[in-house]
Amino acid sequence: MFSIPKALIFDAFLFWAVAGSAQAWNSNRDASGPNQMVRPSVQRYGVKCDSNGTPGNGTDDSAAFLTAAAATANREGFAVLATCRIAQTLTINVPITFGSTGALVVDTDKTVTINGVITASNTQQVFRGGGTIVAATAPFVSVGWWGALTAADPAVAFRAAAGSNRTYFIPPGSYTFQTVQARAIGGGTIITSNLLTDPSCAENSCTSVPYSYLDAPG
Amino acid sequence: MLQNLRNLTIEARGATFSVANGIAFSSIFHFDRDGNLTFQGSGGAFVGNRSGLQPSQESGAITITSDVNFTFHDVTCSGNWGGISACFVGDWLVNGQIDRVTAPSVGICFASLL
Repeated sequence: MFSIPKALIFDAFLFWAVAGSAQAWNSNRDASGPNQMVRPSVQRYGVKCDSNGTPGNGTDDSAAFLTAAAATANREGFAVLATCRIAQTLTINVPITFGSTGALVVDTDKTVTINGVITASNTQQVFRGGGTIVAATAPFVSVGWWGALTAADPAVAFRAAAGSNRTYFIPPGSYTFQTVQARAIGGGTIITSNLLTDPSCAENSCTSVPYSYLDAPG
Repeated sequence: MLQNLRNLTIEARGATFSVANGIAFSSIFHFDRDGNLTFQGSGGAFVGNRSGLQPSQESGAITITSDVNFTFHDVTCSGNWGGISACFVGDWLVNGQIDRVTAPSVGICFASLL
């Protein structure tokens, strides 16, 4: 009697689930979209993904994520279909696909570096927590992944998504920046005037510096 | 500030940017020392906000400094960019193109840093 292995059925389900959530995705990302291949759920490799999304909540899935990355290196990465807590600094060297409820919650002062294509809905916040997520080599990023559409100050998400060699996608919507982080640039002046009262120019009366809402920290 | 970046394409179609009240000497985007930069803002806008600012305090929508090979397409500066506010601010630029700019209410369209 012919029978279909359970693992095959499970992968087929994941393909359907992930592909189904991809209908709202931007066409710019079709080449790296989930329709290209079936990516196994990270939960097949011991990842719990039992966080409720609050920073610090849930099982630390750091080690299991590395296991999953190693196991899927020849399968073009894995899919994240639930909310997973990362409590350690680590580097993931495979592509990651996020389902409609997938997210990484990174603990404060920890950094997750992803070397690979990231696939998710442009408007879905998939990176959360007080830590840092670096999309080091992704050819496409959306500021929505870092919560730009819902954050009180979207500038934080805009800074986090920055990087070279990428399309930097800003979903349609309204963004009101709340914070300014100042940085001097080359001693240049912006609209020189004796009336300027920029406090950072107290020691050099000839300059005022352009501040940016997107200035990088430090 | 988006600084020291290369080969960056910003797709901001339909996105509207504004700032909180009362922060002076600011720019919404600041591109510094970037190369091969493209910005596409069709359907969106940079909404100027002079609330809480003194007449002598400037603000800008996009600041570009020391950039090489850049293009900005379809930039709209709406709202109040009056007084010494500017839609674009910049200097030390090489091989750039800015086109299809709509800026009906700005004090300065392009302000030099010098």
